[in-house]
Amino acid sequence: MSDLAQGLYFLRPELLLSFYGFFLLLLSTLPVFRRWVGGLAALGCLLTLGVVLSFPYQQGMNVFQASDLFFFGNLMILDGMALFFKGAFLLAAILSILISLRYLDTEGVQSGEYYSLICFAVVGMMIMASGTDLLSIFVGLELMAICFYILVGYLRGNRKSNEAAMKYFLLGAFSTGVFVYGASLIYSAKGTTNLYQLAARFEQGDPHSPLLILGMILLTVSLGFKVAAVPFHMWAPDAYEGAPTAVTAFLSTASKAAAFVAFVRIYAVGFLGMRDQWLPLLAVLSVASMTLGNTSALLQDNMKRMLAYSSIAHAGYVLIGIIVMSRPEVDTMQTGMLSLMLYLMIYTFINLGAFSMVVMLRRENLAGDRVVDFSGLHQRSPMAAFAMLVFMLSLAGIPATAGFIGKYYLFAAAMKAHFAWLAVVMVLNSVVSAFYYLRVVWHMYQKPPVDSVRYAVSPGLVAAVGICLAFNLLVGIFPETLIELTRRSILMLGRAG
Amino acid sequence: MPEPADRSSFAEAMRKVAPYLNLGWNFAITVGVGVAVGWWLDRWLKTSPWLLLGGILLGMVGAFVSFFRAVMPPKGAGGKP
Repeated sequence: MSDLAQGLYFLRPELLLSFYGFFLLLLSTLPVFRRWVGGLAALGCLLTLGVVLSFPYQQGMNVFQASDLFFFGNLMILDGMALFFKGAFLLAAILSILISLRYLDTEGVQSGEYYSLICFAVVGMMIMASGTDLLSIFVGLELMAICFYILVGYLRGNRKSNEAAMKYFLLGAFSTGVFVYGASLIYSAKGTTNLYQLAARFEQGDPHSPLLILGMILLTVSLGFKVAAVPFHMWAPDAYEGAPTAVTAFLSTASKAAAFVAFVRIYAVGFLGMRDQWLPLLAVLSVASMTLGNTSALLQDNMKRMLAYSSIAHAGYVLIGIIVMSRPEVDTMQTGMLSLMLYLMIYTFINLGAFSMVVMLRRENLAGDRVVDFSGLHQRSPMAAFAMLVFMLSLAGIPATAGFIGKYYLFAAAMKAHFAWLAVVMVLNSVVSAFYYLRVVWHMYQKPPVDSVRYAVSPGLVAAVGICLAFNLLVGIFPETLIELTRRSILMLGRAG
Repeated sequence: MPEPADRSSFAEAMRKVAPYLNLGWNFAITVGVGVAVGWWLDRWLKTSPWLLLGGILLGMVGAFVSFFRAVMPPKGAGGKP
């Protein structure tokens, strides 16, 4: 099979979803189909998920050991990690669409373009997951980011949404510039932007020039912006608060996971030979993100801002997984990778669940995004309160929830790699975070209700909350299936081709 | 044509993000000045490429200092944390 034919074959999910996005755009111009566009978008993502899952089945489980996984001139790869994250992005997109269906009606901005933009953003994320070159990662990153700039400002008549979109756009454009500058310095130092070729050069003993180190620092800054790690986090609270809640849910999960995939490819593959240089850098980012994220979240009264700072702290936790991958032992490196992938998948389902609950409280006369808006939820809707209880406990990492499994694996990976001090900082921060997560629980169960208006539920929202709740409980109690799936996915992180 | 409410909302948002509008130019110019000075000093003192690298580094540090001064709210401004 020629490189182009193999590339097109491997790129089927991206191509299908791109065409589907355009199809939805076309369909939304016909008034008769407008109300079906949301459901059709979820169906399109589900079909694409089927195509992604078909790869391991079509090629047998050999796909997890195959060596010829590169395509488009080594610009992209289809390995287990790429498949795993493509699945995660599509699941996040489906859940986000489900919680958007009625929410957009409440906000008065129901339109087909919204769902097309979600599809295109997922295509960008999938390209990032497969990217093995700084340029292919850049293309995916920008496709995703441009869709999010529009989605964050989707409430055009809302000042906060406008402000959030402008800030996100300007800081996003800045970080893009920094990424390209870093990539250009790396190219001038090594003559390539391909991560596997960079890794091969390091293995041959190429020296680290100052330009290369500067380039690496600039890429760290740019990716730090994308995952909202301290001190590059300033856009996150405003963007999360101003964006439509359904978009915030998608932004805080899938887009963050996509940026972390790029992080893994760049550091655990391309810059593995420079581990002594990036290790202290990422350790500082991790500790600062955990500490500042959690302490700032303590001060928040707005649920979306609280979850924004919480997501900054969680970015710090996930960075521990990458730090563990700096160890030369293959076994330890794989443990770091496993913990990171597991954590990102679990965090996606927890956070989408928590944001679904914020969407549920949104009514025409009430934003529903303050912590006090959750007061008395237990008396008015015990099931909703129970779901939120599980999401909050899971975010805090309490045993028997999925969040505990994610944190436990990160903790164990840090201990195995002899980063005990990092594990201790993580545990201390988890204790601090429990305070603000449990504050929401206290409001739900100990405070009287704020009003007697019925909550706005829809079948899509109920389905999304139900899926997230079931995932959190099942993975919390029976984590083996997810752990085994993740373990199989990492067996195939491609080697230099 | 946007509604008047939309226009005023957009104008208010633009006022809030005004400090962010110059970020890109500030960064590019500061790094560019560092590179140019380093390159010129290298040629003059025949020290290539060390002063150029020093210029890039100084330019980057300056650019990030100016960036954080623009985006971080000043102490005591009473902004949201």
